[in-house]
Amino acid sequence: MFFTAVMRRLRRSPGFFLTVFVLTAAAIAVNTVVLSAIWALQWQALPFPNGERLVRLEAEIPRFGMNAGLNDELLSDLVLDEGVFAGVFGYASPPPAQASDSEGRPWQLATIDPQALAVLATAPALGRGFSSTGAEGELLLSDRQWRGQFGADPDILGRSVRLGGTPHVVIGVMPPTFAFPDRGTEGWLVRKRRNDDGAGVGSVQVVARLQPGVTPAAAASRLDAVIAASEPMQASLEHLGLIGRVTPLRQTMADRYLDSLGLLALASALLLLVVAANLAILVLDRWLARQAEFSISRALGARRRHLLLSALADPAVPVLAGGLAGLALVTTGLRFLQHRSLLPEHAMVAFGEPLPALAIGLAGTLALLLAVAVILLLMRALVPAAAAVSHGRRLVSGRERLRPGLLVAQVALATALVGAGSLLLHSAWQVLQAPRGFDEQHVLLAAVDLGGGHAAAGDEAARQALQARHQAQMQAAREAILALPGVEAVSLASMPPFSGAAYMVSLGDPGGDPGEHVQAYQNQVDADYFRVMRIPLTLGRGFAEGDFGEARPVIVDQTWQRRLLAGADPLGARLPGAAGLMEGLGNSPIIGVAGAVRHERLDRDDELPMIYQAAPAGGWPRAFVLLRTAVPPGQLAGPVRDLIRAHVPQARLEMIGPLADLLQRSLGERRAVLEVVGLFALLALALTGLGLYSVISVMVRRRTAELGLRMALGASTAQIQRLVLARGGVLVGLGLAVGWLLGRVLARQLEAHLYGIDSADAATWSLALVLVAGAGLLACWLPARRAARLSPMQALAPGH
Amino acid sequence: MEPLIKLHGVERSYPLAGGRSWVLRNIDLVIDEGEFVSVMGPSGSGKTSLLNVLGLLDAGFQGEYHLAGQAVHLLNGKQRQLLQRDAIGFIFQHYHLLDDLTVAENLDLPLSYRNIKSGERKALVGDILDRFQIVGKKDLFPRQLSGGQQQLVAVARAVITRPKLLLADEPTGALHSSHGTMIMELLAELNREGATIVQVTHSLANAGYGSRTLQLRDGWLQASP
Repeated sequence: MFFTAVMRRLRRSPGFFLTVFVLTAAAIAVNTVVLSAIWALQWQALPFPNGERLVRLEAEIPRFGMNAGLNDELLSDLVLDEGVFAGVFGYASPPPAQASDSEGRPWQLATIDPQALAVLATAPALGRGFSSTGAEGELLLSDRQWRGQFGADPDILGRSVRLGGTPHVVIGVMPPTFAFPDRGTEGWLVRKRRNDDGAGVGSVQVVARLQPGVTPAAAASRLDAVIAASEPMQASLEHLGLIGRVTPLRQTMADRYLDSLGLLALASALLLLVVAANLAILVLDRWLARQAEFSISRALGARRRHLLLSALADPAVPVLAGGLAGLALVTTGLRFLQHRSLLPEHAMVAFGEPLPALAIGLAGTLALLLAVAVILLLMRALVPAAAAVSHGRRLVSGRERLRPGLLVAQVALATALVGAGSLLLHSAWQVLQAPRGFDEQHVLLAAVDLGGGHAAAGDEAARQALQARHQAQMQAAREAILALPGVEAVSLASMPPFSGAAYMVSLGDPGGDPGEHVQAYQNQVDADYFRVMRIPLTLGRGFAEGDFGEARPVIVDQTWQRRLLAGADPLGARLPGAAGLMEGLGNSPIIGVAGAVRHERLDRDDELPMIYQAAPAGGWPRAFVLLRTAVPPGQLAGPVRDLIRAHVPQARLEMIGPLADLLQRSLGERRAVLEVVGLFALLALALTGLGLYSVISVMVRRRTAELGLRMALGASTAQIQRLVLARGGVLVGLGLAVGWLLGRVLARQLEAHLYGIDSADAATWSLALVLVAGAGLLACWLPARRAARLSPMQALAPGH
Repeated sequence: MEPLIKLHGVERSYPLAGGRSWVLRNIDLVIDEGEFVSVMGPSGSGKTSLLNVLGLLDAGFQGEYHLAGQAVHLLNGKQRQLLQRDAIGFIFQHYHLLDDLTVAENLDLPLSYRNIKSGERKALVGDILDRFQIVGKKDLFPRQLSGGQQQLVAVARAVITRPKLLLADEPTGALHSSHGTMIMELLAELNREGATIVQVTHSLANAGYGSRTLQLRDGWLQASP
């Protein structure tokens, strides 16, 4: 009978059931998703035995503020150091290459050293690993690929697979849990050692397993010593100031994402509190509505536990159903975070598989704590038994004082969330308005990998011949593209902004002490670059035909002029001399000054100075074709792709698309955080409105007779509305004040995500306060209007 | 023989700004088992307050109250609740049946609070449905019954636990007169079978069903045995 009665009550109030169900599902889903993501990145075991001993070895280049991989010379030296490293291996950089099989299906491949599996302490589930000498043409399959492409064929070993036109023999299948460098990798080939001169860094990514008891700091010292002892590295050490950096493998996977996820965790916790307060108000309303029933039951002999059980049973059903629905949404939520670049698409660990008990436990515990706190507060006031025999007169209990308190808390939390959302929105607006120094609209950009081979082309004559051929090909492609209808101008460059390419030089500081160096971007461009990009020249002239000879004049940007020329006339000045690595650029005459541009991010002011060097495309392994178009640039992507393929058949077209899209993509993470926090803020605002509406409605219901009497005594509609609004207004005002203070404290966590404003920005907070106040007063006005429409006769009728 | 109810010097008041508002003043009252007592008086005279004290719903009184040999004024909240559960049944003016429960479920409700086994409860509900001739209505909800039928169920619910004392607050106040008569005759019959009844009423006719009438005015008992 007990359960039947509960279900009967819920059927009669579907609104209560649905609201509690949806709120619980949303709160549990949001919190579990964010906590699952953080848990997976921070604590889920890596898919290798003793994975916490695996580290990544890199060279930090403090002058450029970046890290780079090592080289094969250093790798060979490190392998020998068995006192610190239990094993070391290299894998290809840039990340996993793609190659198509004979059916044209692209494979995500990684190239690794033969000893990689031993270092990762993982053996193939089927077959064997690479032989120690690393036979070419051997292929290891991922478990997923083995099952998906080969139907888990037990006779797969020895089968030949053509990848990129080359036959490979399958020698093994890795276990299903194995993921390196990420879960997207479908196969592994042996990495070819690069026979460079060992003077630079960045050609190979290196992973090591530390000996037991060796710390990353100790390993970093050892790496420093190996770099310092390397003869070919001396020039790099002197000019770049390399420092060995050892980072736990987990950290390399997690660092980029944890900042944004931490922010989301904070926002989702606030949302959870708002939802909890809202649920408490709904449950209290429900209990108040059942007050007469509780009183009767009490008079019939019900004990406190009977009533408590009956009171809790109503919300328990939708809360339980909502909790289960919320958990079912976790996978979708994690995919959403991945889609929004707030989680890596393919990390080493799997997200949400299996559903992390820790996250469920945390979310559930928090909800339980809140529920228990509310119940404890309510228990004392649950049973006003005398109400039943006092002709419906109801006692004012602690419950009714609790509801406004919950509401004030809810308004405060919503204010904090809306404030945070407004700060992010204002910041995003500032970023979009930030001067970038060029016009990205109507520009199409194509990245062309010319096939390389310059450095490995044998003697100087062969190298020059190859370069000349590439230059001729690129010029022909350029002329053909220029002839396309809708193309206004075409330019070739080595590192246009937001292309992902960056070449840096280190030059002597003209104003500094001898030996001091200054870092700058080095962009090799043709004569039309400034016209295509619409970068203004503030002094001097652009490049002309004659500039592409031996003299190689340069154009510097305003950042260079401001920082390094100290008021001197740039025209006629020369770049400072450069020793060693950057000899080619030293003493070049400056013929002009261009406006400063944002190169990598719109939200970063501390860009390096830029040096533009006149150079024909083809001298670089990778070139960018830029078109200024009279039509939407996306329309020309197809014809441009065809022309490049026709004129530079050996080239690989890495990317083609509007430059404006690249700018938008650079804001992806910022936009994703803004979207999610904004969504939470809107939800919090709506819930607060609902809470206010509920509290004021109950108050109006309760005071119907009083309001009717006031009207019978001559109160006007406006006076009744004001009376009701004043009650809501006080609650909203209190909530706003508390929320503003709370929000100011919490918003400090946002500082790293803000651009152009600080976390206490007065205009933004004013807007947030007005927004919450507006929503709150609207929620109060609806019941106020209903109250004012009451007929005094109705209001004074028995039963009210 | 020990009386069922014995009040001595019972007073009840509520704090007000600048003083106290007295609703019961110096009540001395004895009610024996098997009596049918009617309490009358104008509105605000303290009738309901007296009923709340007698029904153990209000513990904030001063004075002495003995019920079935137990000193109520010395009991703590839990003991009072147990005594109320075991000794008292209520009949309300507005029936107060639970809307979400059927007639049978409403009758079962007080039994379910008394740790009685399910089979025994079913038998008791069946007996009472028979006795009140409402077997045909056992699966109906209160809203499907007339006022008189609802009060009939309410009386059945009050007596199903065989309480020593039946307290009725205006039991016919919300009923048509024919239904009111039926309910009063039922109460009289229960009284003849041994139930002690205290009713609050405004009706002289209803008071006539009782063996004794008490008059309250401004909290003072006007006539006592």
